Amino acid sequence: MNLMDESSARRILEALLARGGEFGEIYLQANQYTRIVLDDGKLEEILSGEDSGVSLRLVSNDRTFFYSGNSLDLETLVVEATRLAGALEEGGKPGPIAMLRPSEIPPVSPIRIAPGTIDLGRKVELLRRAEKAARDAHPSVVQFSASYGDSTLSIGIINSDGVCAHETRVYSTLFGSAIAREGEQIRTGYHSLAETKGFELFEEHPPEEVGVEAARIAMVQLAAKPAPAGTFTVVLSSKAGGTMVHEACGHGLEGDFAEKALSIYAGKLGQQVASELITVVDDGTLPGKRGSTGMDDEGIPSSCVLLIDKGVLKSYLHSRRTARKLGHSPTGNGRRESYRHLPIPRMRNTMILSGTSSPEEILASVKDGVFVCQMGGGEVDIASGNFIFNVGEAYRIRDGKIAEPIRDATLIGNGPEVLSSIDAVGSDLGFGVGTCGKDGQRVPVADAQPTLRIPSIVVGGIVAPTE
Amino acid sequence: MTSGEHDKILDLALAALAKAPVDGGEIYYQNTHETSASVVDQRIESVEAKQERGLGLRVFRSGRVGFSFTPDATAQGISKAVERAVAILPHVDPEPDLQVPAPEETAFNLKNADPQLAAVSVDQKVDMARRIESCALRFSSRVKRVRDSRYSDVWGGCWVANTAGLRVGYTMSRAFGSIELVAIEKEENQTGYSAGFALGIDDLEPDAIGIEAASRAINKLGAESVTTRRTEVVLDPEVVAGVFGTLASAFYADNVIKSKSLFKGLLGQSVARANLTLIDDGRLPGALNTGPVDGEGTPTRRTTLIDQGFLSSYLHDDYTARKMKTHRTGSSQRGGYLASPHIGTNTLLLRSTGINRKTLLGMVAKGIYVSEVMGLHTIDPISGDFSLGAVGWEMENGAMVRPVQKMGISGNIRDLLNSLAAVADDLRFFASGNSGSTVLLEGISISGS
Repeated sequence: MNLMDESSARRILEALLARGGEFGEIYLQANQYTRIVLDDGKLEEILSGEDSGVSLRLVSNDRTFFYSGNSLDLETLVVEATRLAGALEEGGKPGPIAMLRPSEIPPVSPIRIAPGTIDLGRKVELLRRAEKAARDAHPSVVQFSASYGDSTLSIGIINSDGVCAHETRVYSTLFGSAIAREGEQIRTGYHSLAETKGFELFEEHPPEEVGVEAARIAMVQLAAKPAPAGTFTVVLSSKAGGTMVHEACGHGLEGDFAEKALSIYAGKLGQQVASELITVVDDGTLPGKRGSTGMDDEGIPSSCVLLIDKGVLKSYLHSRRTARKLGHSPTGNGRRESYRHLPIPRMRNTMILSGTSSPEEILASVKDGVFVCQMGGGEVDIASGNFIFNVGEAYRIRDGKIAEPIRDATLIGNGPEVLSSIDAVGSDLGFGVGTCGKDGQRVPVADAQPTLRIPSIVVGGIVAPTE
Repeated sequence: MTSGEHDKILDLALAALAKAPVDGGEIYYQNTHETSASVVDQRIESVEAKQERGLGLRVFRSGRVGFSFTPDATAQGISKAVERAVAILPHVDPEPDLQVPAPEETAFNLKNADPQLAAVSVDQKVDMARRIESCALRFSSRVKRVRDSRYSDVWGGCWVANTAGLRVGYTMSRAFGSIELVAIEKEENQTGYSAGFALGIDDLEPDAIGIEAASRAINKLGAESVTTRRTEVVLDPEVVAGVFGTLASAFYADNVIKSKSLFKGLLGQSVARANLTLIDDGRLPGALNTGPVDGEGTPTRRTTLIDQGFLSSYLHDDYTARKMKTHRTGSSQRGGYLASPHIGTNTLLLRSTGINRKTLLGMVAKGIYVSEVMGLHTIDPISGDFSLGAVGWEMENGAMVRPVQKMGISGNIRDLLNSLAAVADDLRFFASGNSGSTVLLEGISISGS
């Protein structure tokens, strides 16, 4: 697929760099997507369309000038490029434009069944099957909602360094939320499937999985007691996903925070920032994983970046801009939500690598604590490193065994403090999926971790009233 | 944008709908411009310009609705979008109350745009971003780094027309200023953020934005942990805005219909302390989400949601009002032409219990002041359970005596509404679209060491 021919691209780049500048770029996007919502037993909404558009970027003396719009008309784009160039001083020598080298980036996740070849009826059926499975799972499941999404995202990047690359990424998602009710108690359970795959995702994972798991978690929540408040030893199961690594260190290692020395991890390359048991990578090359990309949204090939090696800080996550500012190489982490946005350093698939402890022994080692099986959303304050994340499914640990379920807990800690305190890392590994928000831009990510023991962390919970 | 342009596009779309195999249809046309200028260390970091122009279309047939959109406002582009919307109809379940919204008279006397905004030069925008930054840096030498000092704006218009004879639209403009910075002292880094907005650039207050962000960061320096306990808690206006903004979905009538609201079945019943009155207003001068009509073209209005502790209304669009046999509240919201309309708030307001902030703070002998929270998006609006991270102050005899951090604040929204002891008269509109005042709560769980 070709989103723009070379001679048109050259004309735009020439207009963009007419008064100078070190870098000019055209970013083209065509995103064909379908979103289907089932709620309250009804097929409520189907959204299907193509969101296409283009953005132009001119970098001069470290200042960025940016335009985005949804017209692909060549003359319009030349006018906008000239307008951007007009921000530079008059009489500048035109900036260099390298010979364009057309390349098709091979898909990081080979697609077996393109979503566009599947008719709407079969996509709708996935939601009905997930719903039936959830409602059949338990009579207390009183409500179920689910959404299906697919996206076939074609990206073209043409820049003055000669990059003329094209990539197509395919995303499929199925999200389910079950509500269980007993008397006055109403509890929700969630589960989702989300990968860079085509419709084959639902052959590998039947939609019933989403319904049954969401219903199971809702039932556990119904039986759960409010989480206790205070400081506890916490075991994060590998099943819990990776929100912790995402919040406790991932964001703090993004190059824009490092470059301006805003992050608690800034200026600490080569220093011990975590326990020797902790090795963290951000890997954009894992086939099928939600954060994987063939190239980033600036045309830099994807790779696996070693961030923390046995506790020692090795690298940040860079876009072209932040890499240039710090004199490092770009790492393929320059991502954007769409053509409407400037690329910024973002995570892809961020993971703490497996250790050597047996997950069972880690659990058995805790006399009194909290066992987390599902993590929800989180947030971090980059400067202080303070983070929180919400817990979906959790239990008390008593004498090394899983005891009663607890609900509505939040874990509150400080990134480097928590990572340095981790004293057991399991030999297992589990993945979670999510959509990460930063500066108003949402991008698909995955994260992973083994079973971990945190000796002491604040659990936000309920303090019983004293009579 | 010429005044005839949107009418021509609406006419094209109505003509395409007239030919389609449907009972009726609706067009939403958006044409907006956004610009921004970002500065760090007084140097330009980026200057951005965006144009958003496109149509969102709904077709209605026998209780079924199909939605599609297109950035292509030509006759061909529009008929393709109508075809896509029609193709969806057989797959969705019918809902007899889903009909083309009927037109309703409204007054267009709101001041909602500054006509000068489109003419503001890039240099003026950059200067505004620079002023915000210099105010913040001047405020304290402990403000060491700025992540982003920014001016941004949006202007343009949106129009809605449908086959029931409705045709309305309006122009709007907003200018924003914001800054994110870091204060540093003895190896400790703390973030501060503030943002403000107005109809035009001249009404922005760069000094206030810069100073507020700087003081927020400085105030957190030296923060310690708290002891776990149950105590009186004062919430900062911005925290109140965030919490009520998240709670808002419990008032959406569609959530009530689907049993996904903690207020289902409670109309006319007591849901909060008798001193609590909560209002949604779509016509407040100076608020972010103010406009004469909502996303379906229904006139906006003022709706009392909780009246002296009693639940008095939900928020409705055309469909839920018909289904629940009540009147519309002008609460249909659009997130641009790409998205179908859904119920949302305009501006939520807590009515003051008649005291000022100083008096309210003076009511606290021993307690916690919560100045910022983390994790608002994790509040469960169905059960009402929440557990947030927080930073703030230990309070003694009405004074803030010691900054605290890594603190948890947990409970249930229903209990929170019943523990609300006072609301101050310092209502403020935030750039997030929510508003808030200082609030005093009794018996709240605080987690720490």
